[in-house]
Amino acid sequence: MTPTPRVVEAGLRGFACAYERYLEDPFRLGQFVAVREGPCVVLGVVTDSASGPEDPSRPLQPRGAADQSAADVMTANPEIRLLLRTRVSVVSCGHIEGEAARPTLPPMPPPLLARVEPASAAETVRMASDATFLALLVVAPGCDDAAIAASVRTAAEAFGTGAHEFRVRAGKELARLLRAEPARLTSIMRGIGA
Amino acid sequence: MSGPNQVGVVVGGSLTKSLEVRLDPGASAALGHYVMAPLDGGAQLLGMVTDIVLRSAEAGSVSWPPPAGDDPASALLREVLQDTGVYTAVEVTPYLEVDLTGGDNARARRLPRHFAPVALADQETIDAAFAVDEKASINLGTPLGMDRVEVCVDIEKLFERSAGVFGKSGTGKTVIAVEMLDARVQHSANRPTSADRTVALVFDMHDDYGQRIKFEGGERASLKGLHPQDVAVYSLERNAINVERRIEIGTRDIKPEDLDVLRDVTSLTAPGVEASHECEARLGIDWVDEITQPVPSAAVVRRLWGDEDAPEDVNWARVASRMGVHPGSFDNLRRGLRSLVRREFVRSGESQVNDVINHVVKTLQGGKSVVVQFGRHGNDLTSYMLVANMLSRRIWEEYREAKEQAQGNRTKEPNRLVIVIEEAHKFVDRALAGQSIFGQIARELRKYNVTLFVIDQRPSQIDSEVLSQIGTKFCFQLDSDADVDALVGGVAGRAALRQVIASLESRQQALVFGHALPMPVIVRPPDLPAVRTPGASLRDRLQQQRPAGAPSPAGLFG
Amino acid sequence: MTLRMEQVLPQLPAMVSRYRTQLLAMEAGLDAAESALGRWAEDPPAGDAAIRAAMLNSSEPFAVASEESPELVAVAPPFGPLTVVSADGSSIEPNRFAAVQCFVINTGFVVLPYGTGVDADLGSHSEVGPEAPEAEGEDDAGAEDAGPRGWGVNLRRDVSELETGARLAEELSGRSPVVLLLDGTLFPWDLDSRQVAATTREELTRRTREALDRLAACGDDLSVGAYISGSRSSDVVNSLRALAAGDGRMWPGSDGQLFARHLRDGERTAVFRAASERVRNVESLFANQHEVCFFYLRIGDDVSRLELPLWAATPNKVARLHATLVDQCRRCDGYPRALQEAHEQAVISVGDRELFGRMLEAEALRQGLRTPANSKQMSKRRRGL
Repeated sequence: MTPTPRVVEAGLRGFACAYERYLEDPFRLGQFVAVREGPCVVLGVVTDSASGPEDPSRPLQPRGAADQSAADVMTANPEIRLLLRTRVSVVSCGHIEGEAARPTLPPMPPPLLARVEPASAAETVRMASDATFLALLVVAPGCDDAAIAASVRTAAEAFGTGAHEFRVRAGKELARLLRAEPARLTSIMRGIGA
Repeated sequence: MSGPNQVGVVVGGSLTKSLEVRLDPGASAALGHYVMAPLDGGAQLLGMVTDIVLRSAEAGSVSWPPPAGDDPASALLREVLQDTGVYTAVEVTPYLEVDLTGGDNARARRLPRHFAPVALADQETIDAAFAVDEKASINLGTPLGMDRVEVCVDIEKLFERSAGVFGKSGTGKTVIAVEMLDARVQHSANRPTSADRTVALVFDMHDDYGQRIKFEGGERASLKGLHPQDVAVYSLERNAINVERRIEIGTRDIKPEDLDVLRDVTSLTAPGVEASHECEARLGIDWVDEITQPVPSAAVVRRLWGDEDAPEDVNWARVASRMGVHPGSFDNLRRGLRSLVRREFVRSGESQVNDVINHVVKTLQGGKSVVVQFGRHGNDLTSYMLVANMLSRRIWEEYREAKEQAQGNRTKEPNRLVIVIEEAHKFVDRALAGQSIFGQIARELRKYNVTLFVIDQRPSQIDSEVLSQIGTKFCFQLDSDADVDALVGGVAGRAALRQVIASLESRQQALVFGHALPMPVIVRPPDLPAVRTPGASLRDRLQQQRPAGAPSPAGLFG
Repeated sequence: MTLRMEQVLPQLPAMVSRYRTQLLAMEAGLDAAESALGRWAEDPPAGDAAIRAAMLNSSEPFAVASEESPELVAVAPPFGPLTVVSADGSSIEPNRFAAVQCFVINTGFVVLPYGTGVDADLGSHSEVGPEAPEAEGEDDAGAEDAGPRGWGVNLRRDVSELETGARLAEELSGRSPVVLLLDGTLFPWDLDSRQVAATTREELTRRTREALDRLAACGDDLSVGAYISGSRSSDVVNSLRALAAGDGRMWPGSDGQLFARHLRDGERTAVFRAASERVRNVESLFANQHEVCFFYLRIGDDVSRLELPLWAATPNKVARLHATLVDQCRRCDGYPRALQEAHEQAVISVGDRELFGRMLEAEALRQGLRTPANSKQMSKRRRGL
């Protein structure tokens, strides 16, 4: 069972969550995630993930024989996985309060140590449907073009047969937001269409 | 109002030029379509789409257009940029403020607000805009893009001023002229007295207005065929049958004024025509017969030299210098006249032209329309112009005299006359407009109850002042920019109309605008069916249409 | 800089030279010791008897033979599959200047599976004490900075390590072979210290016995070893000297010096049984059921000592322990990986220590206790001229 990361840093515009140990397959870039603890459900988009030693004074040393894969090395040195952490950065893109899904910053940050879970397809569709969530991503400092493109790609999967219409809708919203940056729009659209 | 017909929203514009409407994604509106937008206070602004523009929201989209490839990324980018980075807008010329509650319509003096929804005009609005209430009207056809709506024009309003049908050959000018005259004749036939009837005098160049009109390789019933009791046909051809009278012209009937309009189509020069005045004055009523002789007659010598000694070998050159006319001009005059008098319908000396004139006038004032057919002479422009001009001038004189004699007593005034001429530019071109009777008729409008109905291919060659007096214009496809400019010159929103005319199809599409209509309209004129009831285009709710063949209530001569 | 380098540095060469001379002199002693080892190996019972006789008049530690020949040198057998567990502890000593005197013991532990289905684990658990104020020890040397010795903080720490190791071993044996590594000596030697309050000694002795009993009950699946790096013990050397009575040469000072010549990297000596008065005293606390054995292991240039209970000295268990140590030291630059990680889990950082002090002070203040001012502490903070 995939372990559940917890919030380790929280702000209104985004939060960081971490797994208890190193994970090769944490949340994917652009994935919609939800923190359901607290006064409202905070939804965000994964913009970065990084793994490394929990204690910066104990850097990870390269080890393993030439014919050993990373998995082999991890198995042969079981303490390493426990001394590493995988950390995921998330940009807030909306919140759900009661029945209302709002593509705006949450009124307060998600609670520290709250569990971070993948957003359901229904939650993703509710939040992403009119593509206005992209306005938050475009201005977020921690969210680059690759993350924006990934968020549209992964959200489109939640729309099933309506995926293409959603991509077009999202693209038009991006065209509006980035009307003064045609090169950036083109770059993001390539990432979406790929 | 955002309904199923919405095509876009107002994003800019001006009252004097045009409204700019940004089209909604997926919507389209073509040139000539009517659109409407709400005004403050509940009225609808009605306008016509007169241009279509591709715009970009930012320079970037067109400076770096998306790639043309079929790969998903490129296709997605192109699809995304439509209606965002780039979009389609239409320019709408505002014409009318339409009050759907039944109030009066007004010329557009206001504009909708920014972002007001714009929709294709619906039937209710078009009906309200072109409402003719209970008045008799002519069905012009269906507006562009609206096959279930008829556009009707008030028949009295149409003919109270001169009107014109313009377009390249084969575009349907004659057909629509026949339809309108058919309605005119039918409506007149429904009037109780002759004096109330508007009648037409048609100079039928190609025999289209008599029994039959040529149509799509076959024939259809024309004015005489549809209204045998209300239309009389005259002909220039000697062997014409089923005509009232044959028209002949005597050489004594030819006046110098008649020669002026022929300058363009004959070899007659201005000095030559000028010389004719001198000839008439000096040589008397037979001057045409005289100077078309090979040598001057004794009578000519007598007139010119009188009691003086005439030279022995008097020739025409000497005659010319005796009259003080340049010999070259005189020769030009003689040549031109000799070609004229050779025509079949021209007889030496006096003819029955006056008789014919009287007959025609009586027929007209009796409430019947007259068609003058030219037969094979119709292909001869000179014959056409000569006869049309001579007859019109004389008939118009009669009408003017009758009107002046009536001195305001309406019951004694002559009934209204519409003179129908084809190739009008020959009669009223810029150089000749001053002299032509048609120029005069056009300028003097309804003063003497006579108006023109012109059918022409080259409006750019018609005198602009005359053209401006033409109240309602039917414009089919035209060839040259000069022709288009001539028609729309002076009309509000002419730049827009110019574009619309340039977009007309080669057949069955006409732009109609002017006095009789509240706003310009592109129509598809009704077809000419094989079996046609008389006055099929007439819409007259107040009176029943008389069955074809029944005699007019007031008889032939009123 | 207060160290007078100009006085110290000139003394270094002579000092080093003296040491070097001693080492060279020791070579002959090493030869003699090896000879004695050889004779012992020829007749272990006779050797043991001579050693026991020498013990009677000495408080020095001695070693006697076990089942293995004293001369034995063993290479490491193949490693795994097995699970290595380890525990290590650290503590915050009582601060005599704090409002409330207390200590903290933090015990770190690791579970490292190698080819078994067990989940790896790292962690620690902490306790604050004492649960009740203890009486002072009978013989308080009056050390200024260490707080009440009667509490036996070090002893408690050692016992906590053993208990944690026993718990892990119990949980895992039966699921896979287990090797428990402990840091330092097998027994907490302060158990017999008069400086620890009697009640504390009794409690900790009981807990130690219980932990050892639990370990013994784990059966053949469990190997146990207490690792002492760079040992300076001299049990075997003392025994060999007793066997070579009368030899006047300079003997090696420690077993490590002897066996450094004897062992190659990864090899171990025979298992010896520890014998001394002190050992007997402590062993007697456990009803002589957990007699101490030991062997030496060379890893690189280091000769380390492994202590283990007699019941853990069967050939299979020792082989498993030997193989594990060699493997663990290879992973961690000569020190067992499991012990390294257990130590890391146990370490209390400077920041954590300071935070604990502040939290303690805050809680005391909350409950109305004031920290007494102390002039010496104040002077340390106030270093102005």
